[in-house]
Amino acid sequence: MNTAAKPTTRIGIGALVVALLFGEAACGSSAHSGAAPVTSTRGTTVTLLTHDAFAVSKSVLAAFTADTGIKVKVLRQGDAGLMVNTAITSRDDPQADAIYGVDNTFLSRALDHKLFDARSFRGLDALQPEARAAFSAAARYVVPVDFGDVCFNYDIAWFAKHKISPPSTIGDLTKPALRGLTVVENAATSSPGLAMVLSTIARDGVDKAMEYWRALVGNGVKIDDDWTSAYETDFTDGGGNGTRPIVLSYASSPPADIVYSEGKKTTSDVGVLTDGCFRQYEFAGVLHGASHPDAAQQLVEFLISRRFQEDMPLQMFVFPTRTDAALPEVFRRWAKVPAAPLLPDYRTIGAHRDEWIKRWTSIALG
Amino acid sequence: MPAVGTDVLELCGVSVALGGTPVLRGVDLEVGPSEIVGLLGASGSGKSTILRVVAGLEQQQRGEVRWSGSAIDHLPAHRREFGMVFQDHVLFAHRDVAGNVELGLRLQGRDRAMRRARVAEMLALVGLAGYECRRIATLSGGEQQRVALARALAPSPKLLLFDEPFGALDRPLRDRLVADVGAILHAAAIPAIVVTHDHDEAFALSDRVAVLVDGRIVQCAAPSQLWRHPADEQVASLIGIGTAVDAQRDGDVLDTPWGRVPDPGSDTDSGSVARRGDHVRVVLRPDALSVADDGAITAIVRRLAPRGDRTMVEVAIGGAPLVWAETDRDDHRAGDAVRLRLRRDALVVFPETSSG
Amino acid sequence: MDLHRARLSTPVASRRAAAMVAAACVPIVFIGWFFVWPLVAILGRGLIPGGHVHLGPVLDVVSDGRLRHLAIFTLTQAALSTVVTIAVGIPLAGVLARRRLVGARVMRGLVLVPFVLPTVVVATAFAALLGEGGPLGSWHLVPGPAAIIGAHAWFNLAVVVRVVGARWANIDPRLVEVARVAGAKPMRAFREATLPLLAESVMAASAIVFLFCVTSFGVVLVLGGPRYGTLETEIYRLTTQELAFDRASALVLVQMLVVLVTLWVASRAARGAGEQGRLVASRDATRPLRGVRERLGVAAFLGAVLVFLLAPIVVVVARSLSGGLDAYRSMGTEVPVLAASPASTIGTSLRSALVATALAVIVGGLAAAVVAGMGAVRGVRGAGARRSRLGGALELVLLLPLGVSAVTIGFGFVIALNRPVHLRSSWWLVPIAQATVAVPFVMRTVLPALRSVDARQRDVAAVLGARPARVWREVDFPVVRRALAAAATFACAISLGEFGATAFVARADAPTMPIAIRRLLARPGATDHRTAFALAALLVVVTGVMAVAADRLGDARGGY
Repeated sequence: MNTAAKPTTRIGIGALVVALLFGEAACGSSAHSGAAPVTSTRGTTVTLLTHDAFAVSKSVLAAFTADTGIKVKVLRQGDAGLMVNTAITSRDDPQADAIYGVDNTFLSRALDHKLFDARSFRGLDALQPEARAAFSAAARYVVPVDFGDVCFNYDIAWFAKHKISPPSTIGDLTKPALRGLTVVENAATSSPGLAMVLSTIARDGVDKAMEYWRALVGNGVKIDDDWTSAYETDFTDGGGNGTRPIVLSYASSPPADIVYSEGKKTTSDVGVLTDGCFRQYEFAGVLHGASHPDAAQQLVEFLISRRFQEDMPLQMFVFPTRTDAALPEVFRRWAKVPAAPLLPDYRTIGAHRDEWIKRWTSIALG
Repeated sequence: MPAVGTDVLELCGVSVALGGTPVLRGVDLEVGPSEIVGLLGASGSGKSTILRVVAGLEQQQRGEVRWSGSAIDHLPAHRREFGMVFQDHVLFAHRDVAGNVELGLRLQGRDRAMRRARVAEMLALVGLAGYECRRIATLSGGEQQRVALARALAPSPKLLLFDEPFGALDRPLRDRLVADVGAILHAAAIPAIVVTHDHDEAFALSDRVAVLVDGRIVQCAAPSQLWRHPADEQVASLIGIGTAVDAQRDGDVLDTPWGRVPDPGSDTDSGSVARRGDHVRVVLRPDALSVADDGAITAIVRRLAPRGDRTMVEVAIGGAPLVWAETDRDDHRAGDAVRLRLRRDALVVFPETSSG
Repeated sequence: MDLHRARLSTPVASRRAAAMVAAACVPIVFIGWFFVWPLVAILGRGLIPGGHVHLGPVLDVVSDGRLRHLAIFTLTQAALSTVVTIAVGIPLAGVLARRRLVGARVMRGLVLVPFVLPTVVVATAFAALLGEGGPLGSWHLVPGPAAIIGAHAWFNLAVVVRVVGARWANIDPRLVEVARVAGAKPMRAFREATLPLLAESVMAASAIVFLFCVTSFGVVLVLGGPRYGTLETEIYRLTTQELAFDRASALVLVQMLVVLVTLWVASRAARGAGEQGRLVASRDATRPLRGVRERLGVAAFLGAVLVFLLAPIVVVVARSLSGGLDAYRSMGTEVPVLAASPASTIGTSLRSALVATALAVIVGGLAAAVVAGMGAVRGVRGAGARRSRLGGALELVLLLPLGVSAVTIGFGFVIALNRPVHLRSSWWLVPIAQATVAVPFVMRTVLPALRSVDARQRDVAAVLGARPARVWREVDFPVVRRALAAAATFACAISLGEFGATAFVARADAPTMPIAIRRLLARPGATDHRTAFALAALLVVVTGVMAVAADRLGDARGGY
């Protein structure tokens, strides 16, 4: 029918009008709340900017709201890099009050751009002493909420079936016996990829690290742009029909393997190479220019509360920084915690990051 | 509805320039109640532009268009309540016949029953009764033109504008349609302007014919008047009288390439006061010559052209340009010698200065 | 006195001009607000930091050998992708537009499906199909240009079939018959009679495909691997990883230059080939297949296209079913990483797509009407060159979003869209972002059809008493309806599948399907992946249904 276009047009025009009205309303309310004096945080809505991987049990957030009267709105914006960069880009007029998910490879950039508001956070005593020590210079701005170790993983079953011994050090990966078996992520586009490059540099110095990578490339390593392609497409124990039994992933992969098998697996086929791992911390802080800085601080403190810290492992497969947080059974049994993970200084990372990535790119991808 | 007597369309000094080029230069024209005015002109003479100005599709730079005495220049096309029929009918191919005819009625907000009745009435009027559901693509050219006419007539327009309405049709069809349209317009008492480059069409349809040359109306008169006294050679050529030739006046006689013939000017009201020895231009109307055994002119038949009711022969008279003559015989052969009679009043004479 | 004034103000012309200006305002304001402003804001930050023009990075980037390499690869892969897409697309468009086939409607819907799949899914499906260990892994196409070109062709086939098909279906079949009767073989008849009339739409489709391939992001990222990058992936890397707005801005400028040149060349070529043949909005331009040879040929061709189209979709469905129907059964339960149930993202996507489609059709349709109207002014008046150049400029500006990276616009949104109206985190921003991407498409699709309308039909309607809006409804709309339906379908498809710009619009409530798919795919473990693939499979179904529905709408006849 001819007339079919009419309702669409009407809806469209209506939508446009409503859009403008709606937009005005949003503008008005935010201006109002921004101007209100912060006497009490009760009844406010605090906005948390985080990355796409953020997950939390509904009941946990509800408990925070019940305790404090603060509602939480969660804004997810891409991966960690994108999130940090948009936050920096909109620093003068922030989209949120608090931010969570800045890791130690991006921390220095965020601090340099004065992304955070200085606060005195409560409850830091309960956190890992080593984390507090490593990031003490930034303690006024951010708190370390969780950590994970970026390590090589291998498919135990594959090595058993092919009667090859799995690698025990990262040096083994350059040996001819393991030729063409490894897949890693691009350091220029993926955070585990970058982490492993930083880890090798921290261990051996830049020049030797670059030689190591040259040898790895010479030994037929495949480089994917992101973790999903590497783990889910190319890894033999991933989701697809991968052909490579060694993948750059996390030390928490074995518990994830079991949890996601939905009871089909009681033991994990994923082995973790605990040599040469990079420890990745994620931080939270109050954004500079936040509309509700006090409520935001309460939210950040909640992120290091026991309730959140104990919910976190099974939601995001990371370890709590709080020492008294109880780990889930599957973590206690299957997660590997490397004895001596590498934790290069975040300021050194910030200073050399772009230059190191450039060097690595010319070797690995040139 | 205003009284019939006031339904007059007037163009006063209408000038239009398109892209800087003058197309109409001060056109004055009047169309009286139920009058059909033909607009005759060569292509590019501006005749279609007059229609577009009247329709409200084009805006004049100077001058005024009035309907019933008041200016309508401020009215956009859709509020003038005129109708328009284009050369190649411009029907909506995505609608059937009824869908085309009822468009104006739908735009007037008429209800379905009224529309259906009116469409049937209009189709009957144009001789296409029962064609409602036919697709446009299945109609012949003449049928399409009739649909276009029905579409223009259906909303009872105050004035109909025809832009070369029969141009795309072949002769017999055209003659029939011209007659039908004339009858329909007169029966409905709808005034009309018919733009055409075909003088037969203009003469057959119109109460008056305006001849347009280079954006000016050079003559506007009833067909018979125009036929008898074209204002100049150009008009004569446009109304199909033929090619002018040089002649010399010698008292009451003209010395023409076809021989000496009596000067028609001496007893007509054209008032041309001529002196002996004047150079003039002479044109023969198609009905000027006829084959007659007692004719004064000798000619050689070149070819024969039967035209339905009568036969024409093209003849050579001495070394003069070929001309047509009527005949009631059909056994002429090329090369035959015949004698021709000249009708004096079928000779049109212009002073030499009028050419150009 | 009164008459005098009426004469001086030339009301018809001025009213027409006023209507045109009013109509032009809508697309200009929309594109200005949601495209030009964010773009200028982001470029300003990159090139004029702190108020000082800083062109060093532009010069660096231009003199850098890597840029030359990136630019050459970008253009080469885009050109090859376009050629392949057109080569497959034209015969397919012809068969679907002119032959009466069982299942033609389904086929048309199917062609559209790849276009709406989020690039993440497309790339993952191709990687699963062609990658190491995949069924076609032995071809060693991933990572590499061949896989990119194949995926681009798969992805963009819909553009050719829709844009060229919409025009083809409107060409009077008698034209070909005339050529055939005159003794031309089918190919010759096609070249002589059909191709000249199709030329403008083929150019339009090629330009769109080329631009999509130039700015293609997800496909290049996944299938190109780290070694094969384009300007777009480099812009993404520079902005999201290095926060190097200066170098990114320089690349954005280079890319915009490429886009402008492409559009200019395309519009030139289209004008050169601009055979404004009269079209009929005929009821049915199709004819049944004749003879064994035609039947076999068409069957073989369609079969091959079907396999090509279905293979990646089959991979997606197979992956979603790897755990039985679990992935579908658990759709209703909330997933923390989505803060919603997977099923609810379908509603979110549809709501957003509906609004985005309405916006895109209104804005793009008005833009097309204005551009076509300006052309018409020139046509009638002979010397409206200045105004028509204005129309050309408007057309170019409105087409630019086709060629500017979603990353750039996304960042621009973050900077620019908080004043004067606080849209940045409003629900409306998602459909607006999607509509911005779809507007040029709508305009590009509607414009050729609008230009083919016989101006005198508008005169007829006007004289019969139709107001300008009514003239549009009575005359233009029936002829452009197919094109509008195609445009609306595309707009809807684009917004359903849009990922780039949407990803930058950080919002608190439920994500759209592509965003949900991407988030689920980024999670470890097979469960979330199955859910992601199940959502992708549902997206295929939703799109397919919608495409078929739109096809019906475009074919439906008026009731008179």
